[in-house]
This record gives sequence, structure tokens and C-alpha cells, in this order.
Amino acid sequence: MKYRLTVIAEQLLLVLNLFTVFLLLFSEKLELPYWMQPAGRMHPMMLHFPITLLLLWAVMHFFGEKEQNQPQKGFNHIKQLILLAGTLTAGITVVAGIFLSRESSYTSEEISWHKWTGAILFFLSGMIYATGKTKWGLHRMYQFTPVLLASAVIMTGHLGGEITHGDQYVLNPILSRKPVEQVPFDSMQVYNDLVKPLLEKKCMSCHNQQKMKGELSLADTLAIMKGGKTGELFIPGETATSLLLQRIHLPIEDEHHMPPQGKIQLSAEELSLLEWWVKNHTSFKQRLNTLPSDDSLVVWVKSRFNQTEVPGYKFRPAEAAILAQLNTSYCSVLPSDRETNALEARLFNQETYAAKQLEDLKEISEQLVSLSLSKMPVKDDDLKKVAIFNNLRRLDLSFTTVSTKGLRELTKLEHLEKLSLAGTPLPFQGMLDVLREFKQLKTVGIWNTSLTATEMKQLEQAYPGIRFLKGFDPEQAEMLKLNPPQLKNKSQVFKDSIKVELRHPIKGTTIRYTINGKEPDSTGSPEFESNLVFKGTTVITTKAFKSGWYASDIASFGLYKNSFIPDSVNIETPLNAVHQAEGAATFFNGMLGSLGANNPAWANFWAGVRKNEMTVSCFFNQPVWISSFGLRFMIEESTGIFPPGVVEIWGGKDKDKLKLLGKIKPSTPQKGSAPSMEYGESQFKKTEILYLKIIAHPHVNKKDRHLLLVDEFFLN
Amino acid sequence: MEKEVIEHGFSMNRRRFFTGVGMGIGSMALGSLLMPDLFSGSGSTETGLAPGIPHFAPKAKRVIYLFQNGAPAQQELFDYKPLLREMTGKEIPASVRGMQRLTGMTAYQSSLPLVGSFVDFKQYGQSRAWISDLMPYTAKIADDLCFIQSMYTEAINHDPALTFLQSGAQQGNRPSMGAWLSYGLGSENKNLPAFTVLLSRGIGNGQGVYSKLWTNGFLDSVHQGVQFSKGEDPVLYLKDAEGLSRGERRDMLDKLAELNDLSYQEFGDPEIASRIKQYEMAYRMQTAVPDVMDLSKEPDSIVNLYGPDCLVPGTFAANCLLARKLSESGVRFVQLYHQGWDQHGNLPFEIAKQAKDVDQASAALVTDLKQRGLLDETLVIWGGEFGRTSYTQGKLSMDNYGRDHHPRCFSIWMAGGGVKPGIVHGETDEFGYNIAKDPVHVHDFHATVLHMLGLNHEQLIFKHQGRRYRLTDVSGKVVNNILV
Repeated sequence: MKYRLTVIAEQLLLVLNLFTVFLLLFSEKLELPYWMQPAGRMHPMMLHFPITLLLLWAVMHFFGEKEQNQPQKGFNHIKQLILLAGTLTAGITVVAGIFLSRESSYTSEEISWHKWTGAILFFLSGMIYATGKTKWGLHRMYQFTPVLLASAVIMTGHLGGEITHGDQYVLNPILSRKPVEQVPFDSMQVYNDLVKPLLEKKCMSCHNQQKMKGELSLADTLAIMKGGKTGELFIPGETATSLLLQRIHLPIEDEHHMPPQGKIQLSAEELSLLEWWVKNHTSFKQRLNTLPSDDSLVVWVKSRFNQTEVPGYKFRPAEAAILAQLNTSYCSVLPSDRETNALEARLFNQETYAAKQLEDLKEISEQLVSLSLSKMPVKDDDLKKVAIFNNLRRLDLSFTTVSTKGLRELTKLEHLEKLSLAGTPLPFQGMLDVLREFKQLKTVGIWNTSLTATEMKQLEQAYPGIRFLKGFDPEQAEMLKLNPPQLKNKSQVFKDSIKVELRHPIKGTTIRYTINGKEPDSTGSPEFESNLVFKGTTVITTKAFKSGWYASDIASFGLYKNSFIPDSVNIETPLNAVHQAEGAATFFNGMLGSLGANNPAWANFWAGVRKNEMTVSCFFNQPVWISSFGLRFMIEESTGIFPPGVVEIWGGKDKDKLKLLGKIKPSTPQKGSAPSMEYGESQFKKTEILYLKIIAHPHVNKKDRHLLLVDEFFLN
Repeated sequence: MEKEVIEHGFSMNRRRFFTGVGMGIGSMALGSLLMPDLFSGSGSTETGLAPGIPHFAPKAKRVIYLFQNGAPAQQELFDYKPLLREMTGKEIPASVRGMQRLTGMTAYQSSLPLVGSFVDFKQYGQSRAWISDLMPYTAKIADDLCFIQSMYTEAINHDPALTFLQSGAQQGNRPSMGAWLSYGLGSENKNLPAFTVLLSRGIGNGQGVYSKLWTNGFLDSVHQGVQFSKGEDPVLYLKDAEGLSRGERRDMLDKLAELNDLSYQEFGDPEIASRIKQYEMAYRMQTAVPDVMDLSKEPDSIVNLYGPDCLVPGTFAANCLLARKLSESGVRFVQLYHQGWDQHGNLPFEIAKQAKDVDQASAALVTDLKQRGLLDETLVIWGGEFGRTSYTQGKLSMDNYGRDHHPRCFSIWMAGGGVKPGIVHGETDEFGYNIAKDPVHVHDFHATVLHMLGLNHEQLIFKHQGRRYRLTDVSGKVVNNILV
């Protein structure tokens, strides 16, 4: 049974051989019916069988026993069967391959080598199988057949692989690892740096000096200008007729479309680049920086090459252990990025600074490109240690006490580009002399130094190549208005007397004040001094003055006397949900609110009502004699915060027989008046009380009930 | 009970063992394959790119984000729409509004009349950018700024929009931008937190800011933002208690670290290790913070530049000056919030005040960084969480109107490291209602900012609860046109 199968297989092999010969002779004329195409497309799958089987046979034969002795018989039999199967599948693969090659996407040049090596492989393995059964199989020469066959398999496989995956597919990762040098924008050329790399990548595998498909080579500029079989490649400016653009824009199915179907296609960006090139090409030396800055190519290049822009250096990586050691709480050494291995170091905390820190950095002197010693008590001698960091690009010495001598040490740093000397005591002459000895310096910070504006200008003239950071020029500053004085008292409410604590944040400011509500003027009004004390409720109106500034706006502060705090306070009617403040404690806690309280986010100290009156009752354990009641409320006409319509003050010793002691009726604010906080007071005959009841009615205008906000009561 | 404890310990250990083995060997192998010579810290992400190092050469090293909380009306500041003035009082065309979802505040308004800006605009700088008269100082530095007129977001209310802009997700609990940067770039100065937050507010209608906006989310808690407040104690609880000397503090911390270390040995919770680190940093901050917060040594010219309010703690101007000092000291991300931009009503009055609060100091910050040579490596961002509508909210009167929330377009500006100066990117339509050209989604904005800092937003990843998270979630494109 098994023998029968072998015979059938051998016969099939013979048929395949003949069929293959036929196909090879007439394949050029072969028109493949569409239903046969799937057979062709089996090729990429089938090919794995012959490769594996034939190589397996080669290995078995090469290393197996040569003598046809008895125990080897089974082994040899299997070996032969493997060879037969390998040859058979090789034949099927070849036939399928030839079918596949007839599909339009492949050109005959491309596959011819693969086709012929494949066919030879098939015939060769057939011959080896056939001769293996005869006496030739024992011939000495037969021992070399595995080598021959294996080479043929590898070569065919490789050639086939290149058709699918492209030339140099295997070695590409190694070959293309040439370091790509990033050309700075200013020296970038349109052809050399943009077009040429594109042509090399996508076109020149066929259009090179050797292959010259369509008689076109793109290898050099002369050849490009010459064009190919069909004519000139392009005519600058003629986007509509240039052959290059025609070919790349043809539909991909078109046989003239470039790059041909099956090859890696041009991206949208590359299409536009070629279009731009044809349209605007002037010379092969055309530079990008001669184009207008809003040119589409310039914009594209700037955004495209931006992210891969790398500094012009690359170092050996520093050892991780050293870096871990150098990174302390007061010294940070950080990689500047993931590509260059460059490091940036910065020292912190002047108390812990030691010159040894700089010595430690010696370990990374190769990689260190940036060092900040800002505010560190660096001595001139320490700078000698800095001078050995010969790859240093940026050095920050701001707010150190570096001297001319120290600065001179640093001139050894030949790559130094940016140097900050801000806030240092360096003299003008020293800078003027020493800066000359730096080679690469581009930026120098000199703000907050003793240099005058003229000296700074002189420096700029002496070093036109250096950009000096001069700081904000106060001369250019316009005259500004001072901000108003501030009151620093913890509480504006006092029992007996209060020492007024007025401050102004800016040094050298004079504060003048009045206590009659009038605006203070710069000469007549008294100057505030720290011993100002008030004994009664007072509103102080203040204003700040300083030469070189406009006087501030006025600021008024109420300082309120409150002699009695009740032993208990109750609110008898509900407060607004968003204006609860501190409930009953609000009215005698000494805390005053500020403007803007209509906003729930900072309603703070304001107790508010709208729908009902605000009724607050107070109780004293011991009777007190009072002669006035005051309260503070907010007015913000624009958002509907109004003064109370009327406030009734009821008091007495018997809870159920309270007498009306007085009323407060503030005036209604003018429409459009500015927001303010007001004080209302009612004075009455001195009365002894245990109970006090305040009923404040919100302002009502026709059907509108306005919001009433109160932050404090005052009893005297 | 005892059995349970033992079992718990066992499963903990088993789980830790397996994740440890998986992550450890896997990342080691990956790391050495991709970057054999990489100096790597303790952790590393799945792509093998250890956090703490930029993915490629960065343009900016630090960010100062001047967040205008409440959403400033772009029509009054940077997006000039003369047509709105002509059409003031006329109903917004249905074709412009489209199927736009409105907030509950204007959805039931019977009419939506357009309203033009009360303030005039002029053109400035080489980009001929239109800037309103409310921003005279910003106008002067137009050549340093890159305006993006075509920002848009997905949320229509403050909190989700703000959270979205800070963390790339509306729901909260994801790490904030500053935390991502701290994670991705590491700390430059170990004496200060890598991510700090400063708050101020103007007189306008305000919206809250909450500490969830500077959360580290699922990242290690060392990446959390630290709020610096005004007043005597800029960082709460940083001062030594009365009578405690610095030496005693040191001894106490050492002892505490020993104890913490013991419990770390026992439980292996990485948060304990973070806690030890944070105590140590707080100790160092005790000297570093007062130095940074001391504004008394600033020369008069600086006071003049930032305006006199810069010496009043808690103001936006003071925070700008502090932001510069923090950034200069190596803080990666300084986040400012200025509250009070939510002008639903009374817009002309409030926005003028708000603009006055921030205009001079914002411009001063850019100028100041520039004069110190720091602008090249610092990215300054100015903007709110969304835009405002071109139609009025509430009654439209001769001199008063309001604008509602509008996520479809808003304006921001950026300056400094990595940004093309003096350009205007994107455009809105004539109504200032829809984007006409080059839209920039919040994810795109994040991707771009990370790019400027040398981070690939698709590779800055943290795996949490089985899912890989990014600041840009699953989208985001770098806006190449605004890069230098």
C-alpha cells in the first residue's frame, strides 16, 4: 500500500517536471484564467514545505550514516520519502509561482532570477531523488548533493523574499543605521536634504545607474535633468505637464504608476514635497532659508523636523551608580533627554553648599552640559573645579560673589554658550575684558548688577555677537498708581480703645488720613504714625503717597466700638440658605465681611435674609445700661443687595414687656452707586436691659424684596 | 480571626510577589532591550520608558499655568467679532446655534439676542492679533504670545470643564496635569514640591476651586500639588511648633522614619515609603520655602513691572511674582487659579475689574522670565475652562449684559518654551460661536503641552486597576503649527 503511494508520487513528479518545462518555455505567452489565480496565490504558502523538507533531507543526508547497512535501512527509507515529498512540493510551488508571476503586478525582470533558480532547484532535487535510487547514490560525489541543494534552497528563498519585502530587507536594519545628521535649518538645501533622501528611499532601487529602468537614473543631478525613455523628468514650474508628477499621480492600478504597485508607495507628504519641488525648483543648490518664512515648504520643514532636532553632541552614558550617588537632596543631576546622554546639574541650599560637591561632579565632567550654582556661596577657587567640565554649554552664576579672577578661570570652557552673571558684584571693566576670552558665548545675563544703562550699552557694542539679558529697564516703566493702604488689625471691633495698624506694602510710602470722611490730600491731612489710637467708633479714610507714583485710591476702614457682648444670642427667623454665616455667633464675633458677598463662594461673615425679617434676640445674665445700637450692612445696588428698610430696637428687663428703644432707617442707595459697606446707628436714652430684640426688615420696593446682609452688631 | 490575618498576609504577599516578578523582570528586560544604558529610577512604565526623563529633547522644562477660573468671555478679551456689535439685539441665527445644548440658565430664555463687546479692540504685534482695550499690558507683549482662538471642550459646566482641562477627564480622580509632569519629568529641586498651586480671586462672580483639581489621582502621592497660601504660613503646618528646635525636629523625623520603615517592612504599602519621603521634603522645605516666599528683596523695578499689588499677599500679581520665583527654583508646574470670571450678568463692570487684576501681572511674568533668559525653558499658559456665549444671558440693556457658558470655542494664549511666538492659531466664525479653522480639543492641548516638555503623550502611561491611563486618554494630537 505504502509502496503504491510512492509510485503514484513518483509518477506525479514526472508529470510535474514536464509541465514545468512547458510552463517555463511558454510562460511569457500564458494568459491565466481568473479562476486559476488562487492556485498561483498558493505559492507563498506552499513554498514553506520544500524549504523545510529539502533542508531537512540535506541535514539528514549530510550527517546520517553513509553505509547502506541493515539498521540504517529504515532511516534511509524515511530520508528518501522526505526528499520525494520535498521535491513534489517544490514542483507544486514552482508551478504556483509561475501562475502568480502572470498577475499584472510583477515585472518580468524582477522575478526572473527567482523563477529560474526555483526551477533549477526543482529539477536538481528531482535528479538527486532519481539518482539516489541507483548506484550513483553511493558515489563519492553524491555526498556533496546536500550542500548543493541547501544552497539552492537558500538562494531561491532569499531572492523570493526580496520580491515581497524589498531589496536588502534582511540587512536593512544594519545597513540603514548610518547616523542621520540633522542639518540645521539655515544650511538645509531643498534637493540635497529633502528631495534626494526621498528619491533614494522610494525610487532609486530601480532608477539607478545600474538598473536604469525606463532608461532613467536618478543617481545624480545631470542624470535627473536628462530624464528617461519617455522624455524629460520634469520642467520646473510646469506642474501640469511634468512627467514625474504625472506618473506619481496616476491611479495605482495604472501600469505607468510610480512607484509600481507592490512597491512602497509615496506618502501624502512626499507627494506634496515633489509637487513643490517641480513647481519651485530653481537650482539643485536652492536653500530653504532663502524662501519666505510663510512658504508652505518652510512651514512644513520647521514643524516636521522639529521633533527630531537633536543637539550637536552625544556622549557616552554616565554610570547609573554614579548618578544615583550624585543625586542628593541638595544636588540634582538630571539627563537632559533620552538621546544625547547629556546631564544637567543644579545645586540647592546655600547652607549645605560645599566645594566638594563640585569635585564630586568630576565623575560626569564629560556629560555635564549645564550647571547652575545660582545663589551658592561659590569662591573663585571653586570655579577652577568648574573649568574642567569642558562640555559645559550653560552656566548659571547668578547671585554669587564671582569676581573677575574667577570669571577668567571659566574662559577655559570653550563650548560655553550661556552664562548668567546676574546679581553678581562683577565690575564693568572686568566683564568688558574677560568676556573677550570666551569663544562660543552667545548669551550673558547681566541684570541686577551694578552696571549702569550706559555700561550695558557699551558691552553690547563691544560684543555684537552676544545677547545680553539686561533685565527690566525701570526707565521704561510708566508711572503707576499706588495701591491703597491696608489695615492690619486682627479685628476692627474693640471694647475700650484700638491702636490703628495701617500698612503699605511698598517701602517708603506715606499714608495720610482723615476721620471726617473727606479725601486726604498730600499736604494738609495728617500723616499716619504708629501711635494712632481711637477710643470711639471711627471711620478712617486713608490714601498712600510716594514720589514717582500716582497717589493711591482712598481706602476707608471702620473701627467699631462694642462695649457689651450678650450672654446668649438667638436667631428667631430663618436666614438665607447661602447666607448662614456663623449663625447666631455672627453678630458679636468681631469678624467683618468684605464686598462681593452675593457670591456663595465667599459669603463668609454675612448673615442674610430676603423673604422674612431678621429677628435676633439677646439675653444678658446681669443687667446692662445701653444708650446706642449700631449694625453694619452691605450695599450692592447692581446685584440687589440693599440696606435694611427699617431696623427696630426693642429692649427691657422683662422678656414679655419690651419697649421700642429706637429705629434705624438708612437711605435707599442711588441707582448705579458703587458697592459699599455702611454703618447704621440709633442713639437713645440710657436704658437698663436684660433682654434685647433686633428686628431688621429687608428693603421692599413695590413687589421686589431685596437682600439684606449684616455682619456685626454694636452695643454701647 | 488570626487565621484571616494570616491569610490576608499570605495573599498580599503572593499578589505582590507576582506583580513584582512580572513588572520587575519584564521591565528590566524591556528596558535593557530598548535602552541598555538608560539611567532608570525605581519605577518604569510598560513601554519601558522609565518616568523621570523626557522622551526627547524638551523645549520647555517648566510650566506656569495662569488659570482664569470661571471662564473669561473671549468676546471681550481676545476674539474680536465686529459683526456682533452690528447685530446686537438680533436673535442668534438658528443655523449658527445648530443643535447646541444650552445650560439650564439660558435654555428657557424666550429669546437669545446677540450682543457685541462693550469694549474696543486694536491690532498689535507682527501677528496683528486683535486685543481688547481691557488688556493694555498683554497687548504690549503680543509678539511673545501665541493665541489659540479655537480651543474647545466637552463640558458645559464649571466643575467638569475645569476637571477636564486639568486632568483630561470630567469625572475627577485622574491625576492633574502637574502631577503627570511631576511623574513624567521628576523633580528638579528636591527642596520644593514639583507641583505647586496658588489661589487668588477677583471681585467678579466666582466659582470654587477644590483640592481635587491638583490631585495625584492614582499616581504616587509625591506627585500631588501643594497649595501655597497667602499670609504668614504659606505652606500649612510647615513651621516647627514653638519651642521645637531644628535639631529636635531632625531627631523626631529620624525616629519617625524608623517606625514608618518598620511598618513598610511589614505591610509593603508603597504609600508608606512616599510618606517618609514627604516628611523629608517638608523638612527641607522649611528652609527653602521662606527663601522663595520672601518678596522683600525684590527690587523696585520688579514692583513697577508687576504692579504694586505684587507685594500684597494673595493677589494675582503677588502669585505671578511667586510663580516666577518658584519656577526659577525648579518647580516643574506652578498652577495659579484666579477666581471671578463667571460673568452671567453685570459683565461689563465685572470683566473690567477682572482684567485689571490680571493683565499687568500676566504680561509682567512673561517679560520678567524673558529678561532672565528663562522664557526659553518655561511655558506660560493663560486661559479658562471654556468660553462664553455670543448671546446675552438675562436682560440686554444699553450698558449691561451677561454671557452664559459656551464650550464650543474659547481663546487662550501661551508663551515661552516651545511655542511659536507672535502668532494666532485657529479662527472662530463671524459670530464667535463655532470654530471655523484649526480646532484644538483639550486633549490636543494636553498632547501639545506634553510635547513641548519632551514627553510623548502616548507613552506617558500609568497602569492602574488593569487599564493603562494617559493624560490624553485615548486621543489627542500634537498641534504642530504652534511649535517653534
